[in-house]
Amino acid sequence: MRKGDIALITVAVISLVLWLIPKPQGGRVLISVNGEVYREVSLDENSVIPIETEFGKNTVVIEKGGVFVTHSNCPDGLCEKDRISKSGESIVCLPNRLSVTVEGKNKEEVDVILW
Amino acid sequence: MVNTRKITKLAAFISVAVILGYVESLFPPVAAGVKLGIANTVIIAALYIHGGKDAYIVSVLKVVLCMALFGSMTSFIYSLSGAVLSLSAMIIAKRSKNFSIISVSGLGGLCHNIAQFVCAYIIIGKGVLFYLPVLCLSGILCGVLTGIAAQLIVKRGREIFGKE
Repeated sequence: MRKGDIALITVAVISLVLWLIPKPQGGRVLISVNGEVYREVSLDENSVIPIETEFGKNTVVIEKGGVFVTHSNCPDGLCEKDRISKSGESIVCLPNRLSVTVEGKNKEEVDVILW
Repeated sequence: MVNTRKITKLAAFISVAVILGYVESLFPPVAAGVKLGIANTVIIAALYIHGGKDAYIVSVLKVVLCMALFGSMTSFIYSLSGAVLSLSAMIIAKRSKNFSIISVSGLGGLCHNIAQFVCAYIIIGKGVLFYLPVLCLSGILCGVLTGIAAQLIVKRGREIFGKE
């Protein structure tokens, strides 16, 4: 084992810990397109939000305190895999420049961990 | 200097890297940004057998060819930034002599994913922040796996191609 090997293992362990830290239940959903806020909605109300912009089409669904993307016209469809509900989590569709982020219940609340 | 022999050798490296990149694109990714990066074995082989400058040529041409053949402009920005940062880090790590070949590859995987993360951060915004630990971890793990493969290739490659 050389110094660099140990440094790399340390980074891996830190990443694992940060990934596994439990996050609080979210309250609001922030939908952004191309880095700008598109819509902000509550996580408690069930709704279907169609998103149509110059970058692409997606459908975001909020149901029983969770958010997921049911439709995307992007080629990989990776965003259709996740369902999120915890504060700080997000679903990202890189081709359509869309991000759906769950945030804390109140704006003032500090609950997003920044690394 | 550039001679026919060297051009032929590098062309062989590039074509193998492009084919591996293509084969990998046939498999659906496990999650966004998480993939093995098997073409990295060729880049490491080029780095250890021929040196940093030639590895750059192989790496950048591989990305350009993959974009032209089966990619898109968006993925090109991500791929190129990932390739350049990852190879730069690997060259420095190799020179420092503090890294084994496997952890050079692990560091390359990590830097590849960090570069892609930075691109995503610029394009998408802070919504991608939570994903950084996943990208770091998967980058290191996949880099280590390709590094193990690369170690075997470098050993045999040196016998075939000669050290320089």
